Amino acid sequence: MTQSATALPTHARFYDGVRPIAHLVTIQATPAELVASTTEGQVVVRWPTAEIEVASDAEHEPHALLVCARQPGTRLAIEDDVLRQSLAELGGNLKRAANRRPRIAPALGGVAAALAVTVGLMVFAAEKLPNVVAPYVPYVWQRSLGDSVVTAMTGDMRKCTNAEGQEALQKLIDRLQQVSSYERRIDVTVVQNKIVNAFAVPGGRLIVFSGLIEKAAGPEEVAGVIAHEIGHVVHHHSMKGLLRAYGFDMLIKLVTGGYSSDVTTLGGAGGVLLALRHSRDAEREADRTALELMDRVGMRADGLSTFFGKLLELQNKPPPGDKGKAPGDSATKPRDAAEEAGILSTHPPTRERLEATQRPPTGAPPMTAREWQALQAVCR
Amino acid sequence: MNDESPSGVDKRPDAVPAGGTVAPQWLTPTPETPPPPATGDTPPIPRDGGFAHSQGFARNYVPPPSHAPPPGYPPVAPGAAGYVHPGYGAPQAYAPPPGYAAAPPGYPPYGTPGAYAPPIHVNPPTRLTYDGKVGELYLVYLRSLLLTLVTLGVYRFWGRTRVRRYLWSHFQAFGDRFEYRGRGIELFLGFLAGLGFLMMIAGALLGLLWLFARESLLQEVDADDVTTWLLLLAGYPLLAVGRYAGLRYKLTRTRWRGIRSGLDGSAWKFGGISVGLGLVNGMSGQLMTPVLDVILARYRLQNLTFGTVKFGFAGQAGDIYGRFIGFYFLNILAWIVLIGIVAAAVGGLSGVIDRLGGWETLSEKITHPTPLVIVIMFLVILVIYSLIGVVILPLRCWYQAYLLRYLISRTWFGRMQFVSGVTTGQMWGFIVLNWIILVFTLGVGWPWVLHRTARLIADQLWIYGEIDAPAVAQALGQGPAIGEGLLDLFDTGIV
Repeated sequence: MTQSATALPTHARFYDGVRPIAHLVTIQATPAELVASTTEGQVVVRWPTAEIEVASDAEHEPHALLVCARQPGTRLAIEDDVLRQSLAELGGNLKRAANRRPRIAPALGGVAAALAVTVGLMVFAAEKLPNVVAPYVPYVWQRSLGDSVVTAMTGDMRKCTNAEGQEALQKLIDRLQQVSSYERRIDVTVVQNKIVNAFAVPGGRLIVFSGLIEKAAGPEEVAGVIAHEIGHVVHHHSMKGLLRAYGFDMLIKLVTGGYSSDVTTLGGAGGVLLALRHSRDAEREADRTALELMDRVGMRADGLSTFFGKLLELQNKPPPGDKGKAPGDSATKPRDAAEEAGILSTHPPTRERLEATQRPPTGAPPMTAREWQALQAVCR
Repeated sequence: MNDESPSGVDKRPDAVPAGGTVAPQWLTPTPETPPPPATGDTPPIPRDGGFAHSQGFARNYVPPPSHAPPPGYPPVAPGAAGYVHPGYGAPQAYAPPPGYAAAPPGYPPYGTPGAYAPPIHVNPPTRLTYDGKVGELYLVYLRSLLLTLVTLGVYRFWGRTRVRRYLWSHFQAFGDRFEYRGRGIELFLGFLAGLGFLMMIAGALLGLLWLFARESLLQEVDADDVTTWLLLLAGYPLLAVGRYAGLRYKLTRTRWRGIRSGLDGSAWKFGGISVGLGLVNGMSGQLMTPVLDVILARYRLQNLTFGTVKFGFAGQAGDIYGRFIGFYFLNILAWIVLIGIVAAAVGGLSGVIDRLGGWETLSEKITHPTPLVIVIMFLVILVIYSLIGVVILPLRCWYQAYLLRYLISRTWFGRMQFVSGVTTGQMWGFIVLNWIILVFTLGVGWPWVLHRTARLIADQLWIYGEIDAPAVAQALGQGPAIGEGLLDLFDTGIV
């Protein structure tokens, strides 16, 4: 380190921190001290080089701002790259005075590539990770989540609590659950509602609408639907769906910064379509599992396909107020709501499911005639 | 929290350093010679057909008696009575032309250029310059986005700080760059504080509901709905509060020539005015919009400070009501025309739809889309949006541009005055085009939008006169320690 003063006759701007005035100064810097003097020769700054700090951010700001605790509030603004470089060579804090702006094209390319890879990885994770994580979500959380769903959906409906019917249904569920890979008991709530439906919520709970039991031709059909819902429980479908939706939501918010509701809406629409595709896959998986479970118990398993046939029939029956015009071209092809909804449907086309779940009408009945009677009377 | 010391040493201007010397006061005399006038490109000519001139800036314009300046306008800075703008003569007696009222007692006569206002028609205006490059801004933004993704969102406060540093430091006025000295940690702490505050409010409201309406709550409404509604109800007023507090944070972190800016006034008061007037305006069928606009601008501008000196604003809603009424009724007319166009289009298209096989085939096609159908759907949506963008929004921009020009022309700082010639077309580019860029690039267009906005500000804000440096001193203190908490929760802009 030489002590020879490196005179740098280049201009900088000095702000005294008291008045908004820019003083044009020349800078003389040595490893010991930095001196700035005005054009009239007045010395305005004499700072020990070691005590100088660089307040600016060399990557983003086009000037270097030098500050020193000896003269609080003051700053030297230097834009000249040569001067900044020679100051940086003095070392210490002043290293940060150098212009460190990267060359745009390569840096931009690198960042864009890294961004694309990251987004790709995150999309992949958001799609695949729920399958891995869902079974390990603590049961208590799943349970409370499921409870809140149940209250939200069936809070205003009457619960059917006829003990015998409830028992019959629970017995059927227990048999199917014992042969499945799901280790906890699955409970069921029957609610009074005309809609023909049943669903599984997180935490191993089934909700059965009484319309399903009323419309079913026999215990086989109820058993088929119940087995299908147990299939959902076994595969944690509702938890996976929730996690996936949450993951994509987070991802869209992160990528778009969450600052434009329109952008978020567009991205969200994509997420919904994706969730629906997963939902259709989940239905197929649940159908397969349902048949597997019933076969394992040795139960008569044709109920699911006959139930799908019934669903198709219900859709094609003209509603009471209809004025003759049959919906769809029913002469050639019966109407199928799920197929018509296409990519907007939560379920695969019913006809496809019907064909995939065909089984011979053999095997043990799912429940005794007495139990079936009790189940039919569960809401009375 | 010190804004400029990486090592954390307290270097506030009012702090006496241990064992050090105080800033030499001899450094700040009145400048003997005025700085040379800005050379370079020719002064811009107002592109708005002379609106700015109609606001009192024309060569021979003398305001009519009805436009006598309100009390406090123009301001007489204490200690600056003898100030003469560089290059102009001493104040002199001036007789108003016949038929015009004299200035109110106690105020300098108007029409005398040297007396109280810079003779803007003699000196060319100064413009802000912005020398940022869109590629560099993209680099800053994308790097921040990458780190935000990797850190699952935590980095966004630091990323926003970087973008601001880039933008601020590429703006120049009178040859000096602006600085942004905010820090990411301040935004992060602000966010945490805002979150805590909001949770406290939500908790308190839910607790009250639980105490007083437990039965009906449990039976009739869903707890999630209640929370959402409460947050919306609390959020609407808090948004305005957050905006003001966020503006204050940004301004206190902004320096020019080493002097920091600031915002006085209360964010809660601003929020109260904004919500109260907003409700009244809503009840009056939006007819009070100019009143709302001017009052909110006045609160912000009159509290805006640079160093120790406040900005001034003397706008009055009455001045812009004419344009607003025009906009109001033309807007209604435009909606009628738009609905007519859409009805005609649907009527004309129904023949085409029938030929294609009726509505049912159409819905079948929409739910089983081929790429062609997706493209067509996209085009239909585009046409609807373009109709709104072409018929409805230009009118709004026509009013907004006028409002902005008016507000800016009625603002002063010491002996500086401001003029903007922003046109309806530019406003349309600012509002509509920027929105289109954002939507079509799924948000990746942000840096481009920021760049466009920065360029617009630099092109269309003209400063007349020069800063009266001896009259301005450094502001005391450092402003709020943490930033933008509430704002970040409701309105997550990148800048």
